[in-house]
Amino acid sequence: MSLLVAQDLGKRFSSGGRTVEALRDVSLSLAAGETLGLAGASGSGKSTLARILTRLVPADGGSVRFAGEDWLALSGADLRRRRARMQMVFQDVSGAFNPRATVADALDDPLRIHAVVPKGERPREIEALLDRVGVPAAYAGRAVRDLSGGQRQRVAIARAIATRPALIVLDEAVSALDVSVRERILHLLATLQEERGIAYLFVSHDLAVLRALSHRIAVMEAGRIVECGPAGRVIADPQSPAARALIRAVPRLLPQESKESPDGR
Amino acid sequence: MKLVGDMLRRPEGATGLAILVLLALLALLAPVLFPGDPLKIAGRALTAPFTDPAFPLGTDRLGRDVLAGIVHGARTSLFVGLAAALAALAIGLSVGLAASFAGGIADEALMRVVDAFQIVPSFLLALAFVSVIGASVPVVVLAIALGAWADPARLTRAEVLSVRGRDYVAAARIAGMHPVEIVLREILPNVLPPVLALSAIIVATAILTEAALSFLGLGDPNVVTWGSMIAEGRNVLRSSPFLSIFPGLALVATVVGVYLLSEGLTNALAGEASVERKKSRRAGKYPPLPCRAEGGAGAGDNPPAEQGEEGMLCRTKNLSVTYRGQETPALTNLALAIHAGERLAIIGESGSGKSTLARALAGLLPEGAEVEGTVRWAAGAAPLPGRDLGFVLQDPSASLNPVLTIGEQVAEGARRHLGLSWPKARARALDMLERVRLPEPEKLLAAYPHQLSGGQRQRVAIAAALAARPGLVIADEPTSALDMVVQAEIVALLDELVRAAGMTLVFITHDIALAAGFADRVAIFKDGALVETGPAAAVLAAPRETYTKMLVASHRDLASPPLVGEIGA
Repeated sequence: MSLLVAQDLGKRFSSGGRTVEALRDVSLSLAAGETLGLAGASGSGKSTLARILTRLVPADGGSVRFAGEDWLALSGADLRRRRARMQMVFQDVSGAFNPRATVADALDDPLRIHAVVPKGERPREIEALLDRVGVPAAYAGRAVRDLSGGQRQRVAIARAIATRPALIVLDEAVSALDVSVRERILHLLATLQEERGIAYLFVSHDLAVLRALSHRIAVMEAGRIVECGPAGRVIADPQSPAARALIRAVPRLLPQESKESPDGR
Repeated sequence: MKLVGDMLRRPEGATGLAILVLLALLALLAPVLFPGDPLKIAGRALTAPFTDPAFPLGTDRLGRDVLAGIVHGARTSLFVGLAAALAALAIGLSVGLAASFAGGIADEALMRVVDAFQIVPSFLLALAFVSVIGASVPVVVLAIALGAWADPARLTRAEVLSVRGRDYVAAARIAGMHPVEIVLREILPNVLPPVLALSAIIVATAILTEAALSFLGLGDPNVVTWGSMIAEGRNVLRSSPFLSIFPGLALVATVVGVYLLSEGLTNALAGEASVERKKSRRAGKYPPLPCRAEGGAGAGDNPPAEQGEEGMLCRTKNLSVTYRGQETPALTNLALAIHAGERLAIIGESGSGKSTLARALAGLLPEGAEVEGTVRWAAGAAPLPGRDLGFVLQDPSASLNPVLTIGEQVAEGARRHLGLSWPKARARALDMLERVRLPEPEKLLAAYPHQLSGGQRQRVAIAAALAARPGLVIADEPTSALDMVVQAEIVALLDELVRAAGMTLVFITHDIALAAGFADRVAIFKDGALVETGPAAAVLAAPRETYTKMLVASHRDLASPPLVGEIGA
């Protein structure tokens, strides 16, 4: 039984008389506890898809069933209540928090809005969330913008798991981080999935990063999904030119092919 | 609020506030200090100031106390100024919010009304309004507000539109926050500060407008105002100038106080913003600045590199760089040699000092950066950016000038440094655009940067950097803003061009594997210091330092073991 099923999603943007088809007949499904990697170059439509699924941007056509409900038909208070089940982590770690917010403010909002725990227990829950993502509880009173990029992304993950969601959309969630930090965040995400059975829709242009977490990978090009399959299969035996280009583009630490002039001069 | 504290810590903000508090106290205490109607005759007419202790500032033609008039006048001036500014702000905020949230036709319509009010001179509007409806304090307040609300409306709308697109507003929606709460908690607090800074100026303008109206006899005749006092004194300006001078001084002091306060507020806001900006400083924003290092980069007469350093292009010795206002240096005691013709990759995470090195080499350090140690160039003098040194920046949309054509920007370097005529420089630009393999180069010459994709813009930036055939090319994270497919293309292109021309390439990156693909030598940086350097293949295959080992271990490619198993799919 799928957690999320999207069918024939379409989206057009028009600017200055030109119409761009950002999404064309996009269908995908995601099981509970599964990670679907969404790969594609810039402009392929993967971020638009992520923002349609999170109901930040309306779709022009198509349907989405999420947790057994017609997700695109929800609105107002119904939608706000159901949002607890689907959360999102953004790429830009500095832009994803109100510049005035402290760490505690950022985590208090979802707990308060969805009444996850009784009011009196919220400070304890915030502490537990911070502890879970590896941020010292003493940071609760600090402004989010005083934290390092990696810590901010940990707070963003804490905010996303606060409402105990079934699905988290990770929109290039590790792309802006240093490699050493990135690796630790990927491990954190993997452990959280194992513990809580959260499904991820993981959007990235970096196939190597997608490979780390994804059970299946879907490759997008020009607003369509051109290939979708088990992660290992897509990478070992890509069927589409877009997937092959993405695979070729991943830098390898020690290239198999000998370099033209290893010593340069 | 933190902003207010910041403002008061600045001398202009504190002075402004002191002046205004003093005036406000005088205005509040006026009935106590000078009981009775200030318009009543109190003594002998035209008493000179500083002669009669009962009337320290003298009396006017009718024998009214000037000091009492000024103190009571402060009530009118401050009240009308504040009330008009508040009214203007209330109207402006409402219209700005309504326009930005309604969008579409309502937005268009409201903004055209705003345009209309901005076009009509606000003083003429107030003048007409008061002369038609009749002078009284509420009418004057309304008249001034009518001329002043358009600016805050426009600013509010622009700020809301900008804030509303931020990720934190999206995050609040994802959290399920009620739209009203999003406006009140996420949007408004981030929109208000710049509008508040503007409103201080509106207060000053309102006070002056009120004075001008009173001066013209269009103020409320039943209250004493500074404007009417100045007008009153005008009739005897030659014999008793003080009658106009004292209320004039009061007016000047008030307006200066308001402006100082607004200045302090604006600076406090800018200070807040600069903290955020500091992290994303780009070298290109700053004018070239020669290193102050002794016998170092900037000096034209320093000796060429020492004997036995053949093939050396540049050598730094004990190079340290500290940015203004920073405690810890961004680069410490760096000793690094760059060989002519090599491809050197500078690898480091954020805060490693890798970009600082690039800027120091290019002479692009921001003003006030403290430089110690030496940078020795084999050629004797530091390379001239554009001629001897090409620089490719991370973000091509920021490094290309949006109002110049691609052709102009690529040809500029060739024209200036190769001494080519415009037609020849144009031919050179065309050749460069072909070499970076942009489609339809003839058409591109006349195109503007915004018409290209990110990858195409970076190709243009490379063409521009290489147009004057520099000996050294520094590329500072040239692919970080691009997706991986484009990144691979750009790196291959840069490598090929530099190889073909026999140039030296310094490639700065956070991605150790990207560097491994083409660099001859790598230099690993951490916290402003050089950790390890050596031939690329050797360092990556057998790193000596723990940090390098960690970097290599953290690298993830398609062969790295995944963190999750495959589930039945």
